[in-house]
Amino acid sequence: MVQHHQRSGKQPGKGSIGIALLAGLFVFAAALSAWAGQPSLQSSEAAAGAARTGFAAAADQAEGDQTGRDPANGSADGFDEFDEFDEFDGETGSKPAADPLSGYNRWMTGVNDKLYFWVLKPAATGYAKVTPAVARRSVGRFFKNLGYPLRFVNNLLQLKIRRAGVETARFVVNTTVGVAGFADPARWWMDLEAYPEDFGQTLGHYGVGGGWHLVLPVLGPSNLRDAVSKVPDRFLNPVAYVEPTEVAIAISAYDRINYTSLHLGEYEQLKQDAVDWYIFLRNAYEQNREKKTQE
Amino acid sequence: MKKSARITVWVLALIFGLALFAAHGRVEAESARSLLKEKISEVIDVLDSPDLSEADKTSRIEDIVDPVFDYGLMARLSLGRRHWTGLSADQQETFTRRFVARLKDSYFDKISMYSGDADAAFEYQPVKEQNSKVYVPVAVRAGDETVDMVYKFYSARDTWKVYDVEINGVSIIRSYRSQFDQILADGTAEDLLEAVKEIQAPGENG
Repeated sequence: MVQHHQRSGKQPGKGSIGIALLAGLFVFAAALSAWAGQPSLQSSEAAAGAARTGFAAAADQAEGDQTGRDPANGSADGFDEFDEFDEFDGETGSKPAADPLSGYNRWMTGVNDKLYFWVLKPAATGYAKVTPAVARRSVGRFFKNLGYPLRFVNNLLQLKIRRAGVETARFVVNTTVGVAGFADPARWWMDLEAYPEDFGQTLGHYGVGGGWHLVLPVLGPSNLRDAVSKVPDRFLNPVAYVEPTEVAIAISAYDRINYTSLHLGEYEQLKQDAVDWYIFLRNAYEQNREKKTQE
Repeated sequence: MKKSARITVWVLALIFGLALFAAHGRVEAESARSLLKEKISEVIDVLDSPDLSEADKTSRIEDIVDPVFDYGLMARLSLGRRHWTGLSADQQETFTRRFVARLKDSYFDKISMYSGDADAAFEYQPVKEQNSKVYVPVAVRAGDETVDMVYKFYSARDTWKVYDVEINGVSIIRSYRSQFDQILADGTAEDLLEAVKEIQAPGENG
């Protein structure tokens, strides 16, 4: 239909009635295409339209035939679905994760895995048995509330003023009405959601890349940027100021056990779905961090 | 005078035409979202019916979900052009069958995990359009947590098909692709087929 329009457009000399007629035809064509529900005319480029028609045809071909034998060759007009869906090229959309430490990383992933099954999971399971879920969820909210300084400062550093304001409102409401953060009335009644930010995200926001992937002991997947950022993050964590240090560590461990007790089975589930557990974790971490820095 | 009138007509026609296209695109994109809404509410209805057995639930959910997922395309995309074309026709077929079984398996496992949350709320956010694709973001609020999901649809003639799902920014296709890249970097196509074999849907016959 676009071609038709171009062909007719070559002879516009016959007066405005002719033009109006052509214009009418053009509109009619547009209406027709809208009615027919063909996505091919959404763009004025004939080439793009052709490619999409081919795309739909290829999709039709694939329908009911899950094995899809010749998608790489595409349809007759040279359409190629791998071009159409090239958004998946690269680990997180931009580039594959740099991973020169993969040997160590794999090893540490194994260590953390043992740690989960031998220490964290039994502790969380036992704790869950003696503590009702309602209480554990409250504890989770309490620790989340303690994350306020970290989120507030990093929202400010990224000039996300409104979000920093929401965070402050949440902190004030949840610390008072929510009884030291054990409840989350800000979310329940005022629809105020937290905006998690940390120093790694702030660096990412200003264009600092993650760098090499790095699996940390106990803490799991990270990268150079985020691992270094854990130092300033610590200064904004109230728990880190508890004396003596042993108690601070115990509190953090308790936070972790409590969190794990609310997510038992998820680690196992993900691990079972993964084809290569280390690569799965690395990729999921990098994709998730990329999304978080873009928000 | 005559010339300017002519131009005016052209411009009007163009604006009107463009407006039509735009409205058309809008309607289409919205229809992807309502399709997703419909499917999700149907799935939740199944999950909430107390007198259905787990197996019944799974098969019903499959009936609801299968027509909207382009599993074959997902299998091909998870390998990418280079690896997909590197497989023989037989290997492609085996890979697709196993991959799809695996994908469904993990999807249904996840669904049954979420079924405990009776008060999960789904918040549909504005869709993003890109050529013939529509991204439908949904925030799933359950308990104290919110999971951000994006269902990615492409326009397949007269309907919408899902070709990827993102969970908290993690694209399923990208996740599998990075793992398959690794397997094929270290090994052969046979290793790949072996790797996707491990878990199988109960119904797989071959």
